[in-house]
Amino acid sequence: MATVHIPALLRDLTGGAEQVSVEIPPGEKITVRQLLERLSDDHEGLLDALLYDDDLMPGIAVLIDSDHALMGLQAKVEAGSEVHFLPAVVGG
Amino acid sequence: MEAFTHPNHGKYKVIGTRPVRHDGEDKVTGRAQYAADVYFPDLLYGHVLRSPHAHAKILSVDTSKAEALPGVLAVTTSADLPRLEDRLIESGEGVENMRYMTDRILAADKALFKGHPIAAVAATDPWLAAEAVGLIEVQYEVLRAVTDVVEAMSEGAPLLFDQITTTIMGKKELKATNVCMHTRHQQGDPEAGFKEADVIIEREFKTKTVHQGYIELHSATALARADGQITVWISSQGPFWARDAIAMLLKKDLSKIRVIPMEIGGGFGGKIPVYLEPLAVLLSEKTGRPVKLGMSRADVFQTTGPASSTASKIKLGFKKDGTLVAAQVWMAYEAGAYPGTWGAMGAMCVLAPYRIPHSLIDVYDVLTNTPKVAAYRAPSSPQALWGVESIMDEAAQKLGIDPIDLRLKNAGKEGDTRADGVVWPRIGLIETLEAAKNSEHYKSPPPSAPNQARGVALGYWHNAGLQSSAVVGINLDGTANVITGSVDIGGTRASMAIIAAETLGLKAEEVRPSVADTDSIGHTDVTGGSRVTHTTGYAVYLAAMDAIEQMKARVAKLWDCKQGEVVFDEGAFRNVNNSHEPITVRQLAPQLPRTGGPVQGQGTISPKTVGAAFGCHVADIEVDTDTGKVTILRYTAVQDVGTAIHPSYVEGQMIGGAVQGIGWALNEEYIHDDQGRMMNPGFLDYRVPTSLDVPNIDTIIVEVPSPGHPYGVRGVGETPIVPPMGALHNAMARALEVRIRELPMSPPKVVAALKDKHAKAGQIAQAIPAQS
Repeated sequence: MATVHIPALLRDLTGGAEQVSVEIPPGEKITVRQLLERLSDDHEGLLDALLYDDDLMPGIAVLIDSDHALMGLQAKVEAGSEVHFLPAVVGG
Repeated sequence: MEAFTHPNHGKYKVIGTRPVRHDGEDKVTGRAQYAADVYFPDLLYGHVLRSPHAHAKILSVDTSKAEALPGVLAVTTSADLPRLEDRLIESGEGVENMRYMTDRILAADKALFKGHPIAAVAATDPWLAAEAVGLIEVQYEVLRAVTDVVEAMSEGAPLLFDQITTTIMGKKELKATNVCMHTRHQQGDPEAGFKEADVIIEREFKTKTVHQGYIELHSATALARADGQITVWISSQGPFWARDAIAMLLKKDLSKIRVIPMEIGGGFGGKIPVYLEPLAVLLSEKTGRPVKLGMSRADVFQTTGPASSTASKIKLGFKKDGTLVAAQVWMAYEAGAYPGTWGAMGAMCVLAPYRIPHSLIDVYDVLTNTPKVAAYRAPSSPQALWGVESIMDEAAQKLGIDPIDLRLKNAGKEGDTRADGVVWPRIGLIETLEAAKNSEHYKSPPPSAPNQARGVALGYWHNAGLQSSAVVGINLDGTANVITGSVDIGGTRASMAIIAAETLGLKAEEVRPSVADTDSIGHTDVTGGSRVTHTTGYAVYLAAMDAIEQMKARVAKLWDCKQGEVVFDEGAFRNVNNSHEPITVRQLAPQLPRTGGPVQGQGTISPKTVGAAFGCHVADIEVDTDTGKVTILRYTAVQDVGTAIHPSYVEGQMIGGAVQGIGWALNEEYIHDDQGRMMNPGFLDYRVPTSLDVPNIDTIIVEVPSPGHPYGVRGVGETPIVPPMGALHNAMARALEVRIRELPMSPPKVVAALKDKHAKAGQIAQAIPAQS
């Protein structure tokens, strides 16, 4: 199982669930996009809400196991991965 | 979690020393070249026509009289700017819409803030240019302006745009509004959490617009040649972003533009956006001559930067023993005239220090008729955290718990889940609080004379990673050059030299650090986000390690052995079989030409992890109750910096941040008239602290190495601006027994708050005899 933490404002798409799990067989790796596509079967609109011009929404960062996943939607996840979508950090 | 700390951590030879900065003499003798120093014999001078209105339709712009003035060589308006598509991009400071970027550089249909550029001219001298601007005739239809963030959210507020709706994680609402973004984080069940609480405190807070207040004004010079090659000399924190922005705004190839960063006299986030640069290029293209543009101090205040004003409502719930069980935050951030995402940063910071099982955070970015907000040192964190820190102090008083102990009880640590859902890696919050608690300052008795007291508060900033490049070249005498693309604002040349020296086994003085232009080094993101020593330092480390690997091959050639038998340890190459005497970089360098030629190491990095940093400040103050003036008697700044590469510059950042925070807390604010015009655009009326306003600030450096960085660096510069508002507010509350929940806590507000307190006390006193 990989766990996707649902951004609070998108939880209406998951029936209020803070996180949802996706079955990933041990040893298999899939992309974050594939992960979201699998979720979209049950939670319509989730992938679209995070997309802009078919890529990750500008200003949103993917974190996998608390590390910034630089590859974004192309980053790989596996069983046990924890995935967050957060504002990308900038600074002054 | 990627975790790597250099095996020599704690045993460094160069890291932690305090060499004289390599650029110091040029800076103190005035030889350093800044953007305003750029000069050419055929230089033209530009001037910008700016809107006198905060909100107005532009009906017409007539430049004919200006163009006819002898000595005026070019006039440009928005008609010369390519119209860009309605498209979001990731800029040097978050997300921007390309169309709005164009509009911000030169207004087309509407002026959205006082000072909004309308046109620009180039002339043979600056006085002619100013005169020509006065000849441009603009017809405006003045509209009602809104500068207050709460008013801008309300029904009936003037709308800046007809087509902007609220964006919620990519979903757009249908109704036009000034609320351009909504960010939410939720953990657990806040409603249930507050039911568990024994003590609930809910308060409202406001902060005013403030400016970064850098000393050096904006300046840009451009030369557009007939062959299409463009060179721009700028004062900027992000020369690569400036190049990207110029290319995008004027539809050029990046390879046609060279941006040369000059020395910079402060930025604090405010010198990331481009303002003058595209105009200088446009005017140079029209004239074929170099064109220089500059700003006055009033221009800087009214058209660049500032940091958001805010309004917030914060509720915290505690058990009797001080355990935080629930939190709810509502905040609105001024975005200025164009959409931004600074509220999202505040939403990530506002509850970051604390472990709270149930929390709800709602933050809104709101358009106002003020300049588009820019980053300012830990952008959005100060406005968010000081309210939380006020309530933490109030709770400590109510529960009878020492304020540092209350924070220690609830402090987040490795493995805890933040309010935005992310699990903390190794952080040094507890160590920072313990260092503050054990400081000589905190252990000394608090000042106890009338109207004196002590306050403490926490600060937090996550720090940024982004991208950096570095090159390390080995000279034939064994010294080294290190080249990066990070503009040096706070002494980072010295830090880059130290990191290269530590890695190569050299002295800091044996490394010459330079900042290159955009033609001369790989892409490097902005000097901001406290990221240079962390991320560019990481690139320097990688470049030095690359040079070492190349030198290992040369040593193997000299020793006629396999490269794998050569190791680099304690500044010398050694054979694992001890077949040869160790050889240092200095000894090897003269032999580089005959073993394969020059050695140049390269390093590029976009780190997956950054080093979150916490600070705790302790302030002793005295309030003059007649004038409202606050005197700071003693001040100590404590911060986890990971590893202090050059402790003097770490301390300098901690002190500088504290001073800026003190100014924000006590005096700094934009004052607008009822038509949205700033009334105090100068340092006489916008009052930043001077050396007479602050005492010597003591610093305590805490070093909890950051995982994921070879030398454990966290980044320093931003966190220290966050705690002063809370520390001073809490000290004033304890001294005066009244809490002023609006920044700045300036003398008039202090006097008014005391009058209000005494009036209420008088009402009670009058009521008591009547009841008895």
